[in-house]
Amino acid sequence: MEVWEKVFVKDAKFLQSTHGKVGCVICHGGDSQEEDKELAHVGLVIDPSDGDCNTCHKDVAQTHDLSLHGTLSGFESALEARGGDVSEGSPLDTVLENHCQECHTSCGQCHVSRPDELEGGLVSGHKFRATPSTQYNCVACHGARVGAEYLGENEGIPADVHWTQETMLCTACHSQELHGSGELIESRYHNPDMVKCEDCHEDVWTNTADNPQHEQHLSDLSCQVCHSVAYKNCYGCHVAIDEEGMPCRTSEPSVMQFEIGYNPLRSSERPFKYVVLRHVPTCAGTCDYYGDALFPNFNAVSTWKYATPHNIQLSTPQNESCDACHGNLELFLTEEDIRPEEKAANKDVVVDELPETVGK
Amino acid sequence: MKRLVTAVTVILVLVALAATGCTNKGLISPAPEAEEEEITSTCVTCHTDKDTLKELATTEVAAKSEATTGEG
Repeated sequence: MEVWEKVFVKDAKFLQSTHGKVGCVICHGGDSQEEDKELAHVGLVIDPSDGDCNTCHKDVAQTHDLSLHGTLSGFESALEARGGDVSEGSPLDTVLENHCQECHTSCGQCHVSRPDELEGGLVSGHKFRATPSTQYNCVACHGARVGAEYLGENEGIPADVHWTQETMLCTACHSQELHGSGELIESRYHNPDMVKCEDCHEDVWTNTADNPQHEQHLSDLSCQVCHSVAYKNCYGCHVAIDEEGMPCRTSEPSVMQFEIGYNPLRSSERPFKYVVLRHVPTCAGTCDYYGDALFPNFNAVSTWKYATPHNIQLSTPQNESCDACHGNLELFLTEEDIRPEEKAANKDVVVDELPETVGK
Repeated sequence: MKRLVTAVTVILVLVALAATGCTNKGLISPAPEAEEEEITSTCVTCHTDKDTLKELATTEVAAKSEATTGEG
């Protein structure tokens, strides 16, 4: 996007809209009577949506203030789970500030402009989009893994059938849940409004007689175990400040893998014994630049985490037959797949005994 | 007869006066036209003008470290 395009209010209709009639300076500050650009921009607020939306959209704005997008509480909870101290002024608080805050999403960064991560800019000429753009909003941030998986951008890996068969955009499934529930939550899997397969595919649960595999496995396998394919796994992320004083990070090349393991988030909502696991880029030394032993309990949480890859297929190599999965060492996360320094952290998710073949 | 002549004369004078008023607007000062108050905003003027933006917009991209490698 050209720099001028980022601030071009190209649709005159916007000025007659509810938001347009408010007046530019009410939200953005500055001086609407000043002709000189620099003087007109004194006091300018580029993104006023971090607070101003409360005036009219109180309910939504308040829940968003506690959402994952708004608070990045998922990052904090992950660090704390490993014994990290994220209190104000702590080394990890500095890590979050330097390396993670750019993912904080204001109202405007979904409904008006592209996120800062993508260098901003109006998506539709300042139009307030009730539905964010998949291309310029969702995938702008969620592109490295879920976006690429969903759209089939990983070489040799097909796109998700929800995209290829139905051209479903992100918001077809993920809508109001993104505004949050009004309470701080630990991760996206702890959102009470989290979207589930059965929200649309209820018949799979109510009509198992037509599918022996469903009849057998609905309660002990997550859907992705049978219907996902290889996805991106990341390793060895390290954050630091470079010689110029700018935050930087390095990581090892990602690896396309498919691993079935034991469920680290087992609950009444997720009763499955086996789930698909994705390797996180975090390692014990991720934040070493900022201090020693910042994760005193690193092994409390597995580095292979509960995952829901967005590359769903009706037919996959592992669901061709029972024994395409049963006894197939390649599909399961075993001891041999775990790095030596991560053995302890993953002891509860590693499959110690493969499901036996059944002769089908 | 005298009254009739007088009445006709008055009517004619009134008609003449009315006709003069209709045709000679210069005799009556027109009410000053209310000036339309135009609300201007340099924000709108600039940000809806592609050519102006192309001329004035400057790149303000947050610098990113060259030391960063790998995927985010």
